[in-house]
Amino acid sequence: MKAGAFFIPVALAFLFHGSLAHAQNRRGGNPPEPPTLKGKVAAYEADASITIETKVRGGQTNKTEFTIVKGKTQIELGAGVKAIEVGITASVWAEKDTPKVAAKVVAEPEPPTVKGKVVAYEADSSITVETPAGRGREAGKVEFSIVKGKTRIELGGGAKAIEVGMTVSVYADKDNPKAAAKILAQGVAPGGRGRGGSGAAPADKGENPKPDAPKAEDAVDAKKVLAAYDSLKRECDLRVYQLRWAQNYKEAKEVAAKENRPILISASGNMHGNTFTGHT
Amino acid sequence: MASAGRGFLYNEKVHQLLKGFIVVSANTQDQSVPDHAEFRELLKKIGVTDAKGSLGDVLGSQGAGNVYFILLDPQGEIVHYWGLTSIDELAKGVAKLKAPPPPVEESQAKLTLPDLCASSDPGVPSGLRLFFRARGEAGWNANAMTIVQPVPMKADEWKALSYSDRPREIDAEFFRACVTEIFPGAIRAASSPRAPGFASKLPGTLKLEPAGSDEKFRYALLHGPVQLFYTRSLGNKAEPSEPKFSGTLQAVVKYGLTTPEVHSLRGMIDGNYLYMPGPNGTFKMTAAVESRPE
Repeated sequence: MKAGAFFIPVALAFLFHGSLAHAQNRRGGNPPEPPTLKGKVAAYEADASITIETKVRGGQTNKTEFTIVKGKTQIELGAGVKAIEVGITASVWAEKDTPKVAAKVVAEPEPPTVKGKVVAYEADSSITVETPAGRGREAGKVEFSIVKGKTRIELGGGAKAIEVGMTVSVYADKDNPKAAAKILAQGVAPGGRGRGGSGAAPADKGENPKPDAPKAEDAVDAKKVLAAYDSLKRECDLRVYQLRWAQNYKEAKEVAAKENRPILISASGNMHGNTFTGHT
Repeated sequence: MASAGRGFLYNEKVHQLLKGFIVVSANTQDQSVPDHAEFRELLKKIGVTDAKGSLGDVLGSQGAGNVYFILLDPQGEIVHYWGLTSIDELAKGVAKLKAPPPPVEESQAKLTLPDLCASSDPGVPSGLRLFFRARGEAGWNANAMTIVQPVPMKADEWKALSYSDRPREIDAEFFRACVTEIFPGAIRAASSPRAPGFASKLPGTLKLEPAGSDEKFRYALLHGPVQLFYTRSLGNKAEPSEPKFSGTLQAVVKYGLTTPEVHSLRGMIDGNYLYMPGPNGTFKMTAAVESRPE
């Protein structure tokens, strides 16, 4: 398969990043086992325990504690999550035999308040994000103030700076919903579209974490990786492989006898060496 | 060092003389090569009887290098052999053939690259293949020559990269055999990590993150630092403070829609190979890496 043929589906995959992953799960395939519990982390002690808070009817909350066993409980941090902390959303899979012990804990990426295209941006001042129409929601523009030294800006997907036209996720300040606590820039996806789609994200209710929330720390871009791979291969001088090489001496003798061709053996006298691969 | 033989095979006149030939690499010392014993039998016909002997022992001053050439007829009988990268010697050998090789069909004029045998488990790749060349300032010609190195892997090893719908970390050790091969051509054989007595390790973790899907495949991004350390098991047993190779890996991993096994991998490893301390002792190495077969 040619590199280009591989590249296109990946580029497409990024255009539809997230939604297709969800769609695939909906279609069946190999859906992951659901967690025992998802909710806000109410308490956490590394290598000891984690308490998950979940909402129940009537606005009440339940707290469930799981034991964490060092070297046994698997901890996974979602994109952009540096550590498990009180207040973040986490999923816990309990041990089948000992339900009070966590087999796996996954810290979920926090969904943004708004995700969309930047239509206006002034450094250390404000950002306006355009959110397209979605299910039960009209298109609109949302402006957030940017507070120097307080609003955290993270650049991912190869983005060098926030620019008009790129896709960003904005996390509002909990105490001041009109101010941005954090802005994640995802760069521009293959084809010029913002990566990861766009649209306003629902407020985090602590019970429906979004595994496909933006990749905050994702500085690796699939398109660039595949382009670099392709470019590296193309710049290699492969003239030596225009010769009719056999993979080994045995194969050379078989092909030579069958096709009535002479053989040239290029023998290395080093302790190891192979003029075919080039590691002579 | 053994760059001359490789350079010889890049020569256009050599290519003209070798039209219709089968070309194969062999090693007079490396017993790990599967058909090494068979090759040693051939060397005996030339007069190399010592198990560690090389063609240089027979050729004397004519075999001063460390690359030798042996020309066989289609029946595998020796026609000519020589020890210097001489186009004249090759032409002499070709002239000794009873008949010129049959012409090469256009359809046969394709690249034959080093590759891997089919995997014992058809569900996963047989291994990885690297394409790279050194970009150092040290002046030997082989720096510019491409190395194409297959790296076989066991089917079980691929489980480390199985698909997960959550970001997760995997041990960088998965790529140890691969990174161990990223060193320049034509360095002193005893200094390379392939020399006997070396032990290596690739500590640390890489991040594997789901990256969407399309109609046929799911994708994941794999990235992180790679640092190869190695020590000789004899002599200096001290843990090295500096990595022999230090760089980063970035790759796209492809999976089937319903199965967690790796379908294929493509990416790059970019870093520096520390050949020796001092000026010109470090080589910038950038390798394209791909799983095989595609």
